Amino acid sequence: MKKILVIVLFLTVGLSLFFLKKTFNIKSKDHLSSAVILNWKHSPEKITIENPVDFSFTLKDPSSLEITNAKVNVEATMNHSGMIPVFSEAVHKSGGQYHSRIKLTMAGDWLLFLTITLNNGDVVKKEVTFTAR
Amino acid sequence: MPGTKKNIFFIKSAFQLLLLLFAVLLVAEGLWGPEFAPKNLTTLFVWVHYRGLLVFLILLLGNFFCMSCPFIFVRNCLRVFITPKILWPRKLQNKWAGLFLFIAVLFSYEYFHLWSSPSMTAWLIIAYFLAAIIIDLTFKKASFCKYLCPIGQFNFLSSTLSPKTIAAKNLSVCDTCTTHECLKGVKTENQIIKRGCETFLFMPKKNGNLDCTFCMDCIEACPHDNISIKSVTPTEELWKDLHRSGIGSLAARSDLLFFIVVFTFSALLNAFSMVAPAYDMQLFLNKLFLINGSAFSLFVTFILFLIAAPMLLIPMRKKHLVPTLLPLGFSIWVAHYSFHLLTGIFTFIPLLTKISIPVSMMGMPLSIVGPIQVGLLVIGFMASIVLTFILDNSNSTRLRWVSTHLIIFLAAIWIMSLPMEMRGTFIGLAP
Repeated sequence: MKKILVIVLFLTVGLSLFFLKKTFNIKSKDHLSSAVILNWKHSPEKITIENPVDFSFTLKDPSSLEITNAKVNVEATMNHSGMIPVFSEAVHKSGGQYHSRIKLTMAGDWLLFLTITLNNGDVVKKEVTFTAR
Repeated sequence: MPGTKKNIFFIKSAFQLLLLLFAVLLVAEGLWGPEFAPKNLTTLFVWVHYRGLLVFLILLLGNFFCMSCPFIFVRNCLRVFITPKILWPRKLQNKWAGLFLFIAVLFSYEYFHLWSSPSMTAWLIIAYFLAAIIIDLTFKKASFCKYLCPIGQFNFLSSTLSPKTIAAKNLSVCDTCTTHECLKGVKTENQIIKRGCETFLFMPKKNGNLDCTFCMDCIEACPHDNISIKSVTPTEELWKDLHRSGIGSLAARSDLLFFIVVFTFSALLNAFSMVAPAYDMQLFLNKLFLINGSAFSLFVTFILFLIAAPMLLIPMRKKHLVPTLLPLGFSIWVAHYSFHLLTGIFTFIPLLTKISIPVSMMGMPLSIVGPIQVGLLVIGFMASIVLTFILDNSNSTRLRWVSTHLIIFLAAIWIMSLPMEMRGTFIGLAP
């Protein structure tokens, strides 16, 4: 009886995992769409946690035309779990240029997750990395 | 009373099953979920919540995480099919292998940046399960727990500071007992009816929490219903170096004493690895030896912290005082892990529910967490000093050891006061 129970338990866990795999399988790179070409720079050149950092993003489409009416949400986060992110919305300046000022909370490796909502409603995600001292 | 014993079995098994299912989900999320650590529940729960809750549970209650260990659940299930026939080799019946694995896990954590890799964290969980199962299906009793498990060894040392212990209710009842089910269990020729202590702790002479997994098999096995969970003063078991069943005298166990030293200094090392001077030191070492990559500089850092610093600071002639390091060492672990747990305690909510919550609600602000960390360190430091005064009467020895504790305490305060730097390997990026 014990043996049957154990076999049933392990089979249940195994089968659940098999069916759950689809739910977990979100490693798709589709979101790194080539619909937007991103160039970015920051000021000051040396990023520190003392002063806010101005990020400038230039968005172009694959035919090198500047993307003007996009909505760009920025999430700055670190690569250690449990660190609290910083959120901001980039402001459209001119042409394909968008600006965002972010005050970083801790030194170390940072990532910016950009969620770019295009005029036609398409959502494109981009990621950039930098180090703060 | 049989009802209560049955309840213990079901409660323990329920916790183990729950943690097993949780571990399975963590492995799945780690292997198949988002690749970026802060967006992945495996890295978040393992390196932020699990470690933090573990140390707080040990500090406030006892070693209940060992009791709920999912590896043991799987092992017990598989022992229905395979009964191990041999005992763990006599020459390895000590903590040296466990100590080596403990350092290996710490080194891997830094070298592979495990905190920033969901898949490697998942593989670590899988490796843990495999190791526990292979060892415990080959060797009798809880060989993996007692001699190898790095988490177990950490928990054993930490639980010497817990307010709960499993002990005999009345030692005179034990004096009249001739069958010793608490140690031997109850078995027929082919079958174990009730397990005795799998880490060889004979209840009347157990004297503390070392090597106790809180499995409560002894409570279930005792025919006199003479074993229970008892409240004790934290550190009480360290006030005298009593002979401990299955362990002996602490002062006579160089493996355990060395483990206590490593436990304390690795707490400093683990916290130090997250601040700017650690990165500066590694860059300096790389430049000095004209070496690229982090393996060598990390190795040197480990040697400095786990061998050089203890050799300088610990007066080994008075080795009966080495256990006085435990309260301070544990307080450094708790202070460090409480930083991660408390500052990011609710960061899992947006990941799990996809519901955004305000940043201010994701965790406690540093202005609150900082004083908590300092408070924990002060308590640990004071406890180590009190323990030093209890264990030795010589003023010169006391002074020497109090100086050692003070240096470690100040080093911990310095590290905790520095702004943390989160460094790791960037994963799968590029615009």
